[in-house]
Amino acid sequence: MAQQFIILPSSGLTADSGQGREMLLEMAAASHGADPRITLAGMGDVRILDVVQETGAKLVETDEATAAAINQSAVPIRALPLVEYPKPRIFPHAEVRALGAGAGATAMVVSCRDGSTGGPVAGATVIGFTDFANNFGDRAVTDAQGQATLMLAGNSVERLYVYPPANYWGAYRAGLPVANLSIDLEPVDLAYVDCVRHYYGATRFDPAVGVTVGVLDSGCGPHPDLNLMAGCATVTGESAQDWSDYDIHGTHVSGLIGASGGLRGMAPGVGIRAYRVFPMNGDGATNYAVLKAMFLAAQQGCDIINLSLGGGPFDFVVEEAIEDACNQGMLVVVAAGNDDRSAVSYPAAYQGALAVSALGRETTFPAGSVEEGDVLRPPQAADPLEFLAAFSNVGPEIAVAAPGVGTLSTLPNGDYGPLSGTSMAAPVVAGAAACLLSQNPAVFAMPRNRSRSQAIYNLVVQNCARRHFGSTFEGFGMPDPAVV
Amino acid sequence: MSRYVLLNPGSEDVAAAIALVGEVAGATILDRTDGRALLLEAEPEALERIRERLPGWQVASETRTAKPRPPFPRPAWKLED
Repeated sequence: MAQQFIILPSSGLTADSGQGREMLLEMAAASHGADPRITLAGMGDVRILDVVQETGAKLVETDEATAAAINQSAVPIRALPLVEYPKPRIFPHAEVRALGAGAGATAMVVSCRDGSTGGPVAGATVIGFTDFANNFGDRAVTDAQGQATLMLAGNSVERLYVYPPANYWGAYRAGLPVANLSIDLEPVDLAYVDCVRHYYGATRFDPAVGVTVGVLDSGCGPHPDLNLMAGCATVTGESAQDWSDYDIHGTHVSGLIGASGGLRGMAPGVGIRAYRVFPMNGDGATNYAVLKAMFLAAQQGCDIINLSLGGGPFDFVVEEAIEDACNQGMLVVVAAGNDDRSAVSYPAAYQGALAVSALGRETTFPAGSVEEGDVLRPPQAADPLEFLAAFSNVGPEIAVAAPGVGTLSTLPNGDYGPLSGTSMAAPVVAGAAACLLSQNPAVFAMPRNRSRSQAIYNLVVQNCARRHFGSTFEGFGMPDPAVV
Repeated sequence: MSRYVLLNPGSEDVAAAIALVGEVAGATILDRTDGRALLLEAEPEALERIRERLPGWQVASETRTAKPRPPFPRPAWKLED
C-alpha cells in the first residue's frame, strides 16, 4: 500500500556531491512532469509529491518494499516515514459548549477534597467534556463545600479536568460515567521533585557577582522567596510604581528564575527587576510598553531579560528593542509559544532572541494530574520518560529547550503552585544563564555591548546537553545540569 | 485617533521633535522613553505631517501582545469567562 515518505541524503539535509545528489536531482526534475513518477533502478517506483530543495528533501509516495529497498541500497539516500504530530486541541474556557438543564442534561456533582486532610477544596474549576472533539461539556467552580455541579448530556464523560486553586496540583480523568464523583487534589509539597528540580536539584549560582535579571511580565510578587530589587510598570496611563503582580504569571516566572526559601529557583536569590508590561485590565502588552521596559532594563543594569510572552505578527518595534538590548550587553530569553508545535512565535523568532521550547518528564508530576495531557511523542528522547511538551512551538529558531511541564514556583502573596508552558521553560533558561554568568566573572565584567550579549548567549548554548529530540525541537539542547 | 510609536534611531534631536509634535494639531504625546521613543495619539493626517517633518524617526503603530495563555485550560485559579 502506498505511503508517504521523505527522501533525504543518507546524512544531512542536502547532498553536495555523488550518486545521492544525482538521484535527488533526478527526482526534482521528475517532479515537474505531468506524471511526477520516477523508477529507481533496483528499488521501485516513487511518486514525487513535493520538493523542498533540488538536492535535498523530497516528499514521495511509494510502498514499504520500495522504501526498504532505498534504505538498503548503496545509493546514499534514505526514505523516512512521514510523521504527523497530532495537534492537541486547546479549549479556551469560553468555548466549552454547555447544553444546560433545559436540554435533557443530567447533573453531575464533582466533590474536590484535599488529598491529605479530606477537607473540601473551594475555588477549583471543574471542566467536563462529553464530546471533547466538539467542545460539548460544562464547567463549574467548587463552592465552600468543595462541590461543583456540571449539567451534562449523555451517559459518559470523555474527559474531566480539575484546575485547582493555589497550593494544589490539578486532576485529569477520562472515560467516566455521568455520576457523582469525588476527587482528591494533591496539595503542593515544596519537597516534591518536579521537572525543574529533577534536572536542577542544585545549581552553582554565585550571588556575590551581582547578576540581575529583568522580568517583563504581569508584574511580580509580593512573595518572600523573591529578591525583588525594584520594579516599574511601563503601561501607558498606569502608575509606574504599581508593579505588583495583578495576575500570577510574572510571580511564577520570577520564582523559577530566582526563588530562595520555600522553593529553590535556578539562581536562588538572584536580583530581579520586575517590569509590568501587561495592563491591569487584562489587555495585551503593547509594543511600546515592551520597548520601554527593555530600555529601562538596560539603564538599570540588567544582564538578562526574560520575556515569557509572544504571539501576533512581525513588529519592528519589538525587534528593534531586542536588537538594542543585545547592543546594551544583555541576553534576551524568550518563550517560543504554546501553539501546539506551531512555528516559533514573535518575539522569540527575532534575530538576537534566545528562543526556548518546553520539555517535560513523566514521573515529575503526580499521576492523574492535568500535566498528563502535555505528553506527546515523537520525537523520542534518549530518556524514555522525557518528552517535548505537546503545546510547545518548534522550529529552526529554537536555541534551547528547558523543563516547562508541571513546574512548581511562587505565586503572589506567599503561595505556590504548578504551571506549564514555554513561559515556564524560558525563565529556567534565564536562571541557568544567571548561574553561568555568575561563574564567569570575566564575561560579567565585559563592557556592555554586543560582544557581551553574544558572550552570555554562547555561555548558554555551549553548555547544553542534547536530549536527542533533534535541533528543531531542542536547538542546542537543555542547559547542562552538570555545569549550571 | 490611533496610537503610534516613534523610534529615535539615536541621532535625532528629541527636544526639537517634541516641540514639533506639539505644534501639530491633532497629535498628542502620551508617553516618552528617555529620548529613545515617543508614544503618540494622532489623527492620520497629523501623523503624515509628523512623518514629513521628522524623516529621521521610525514610525510604527502601537500593537499588543496577548497575555500569556498557558496551554490547556489552566490555570484554574485565574479562569476567566
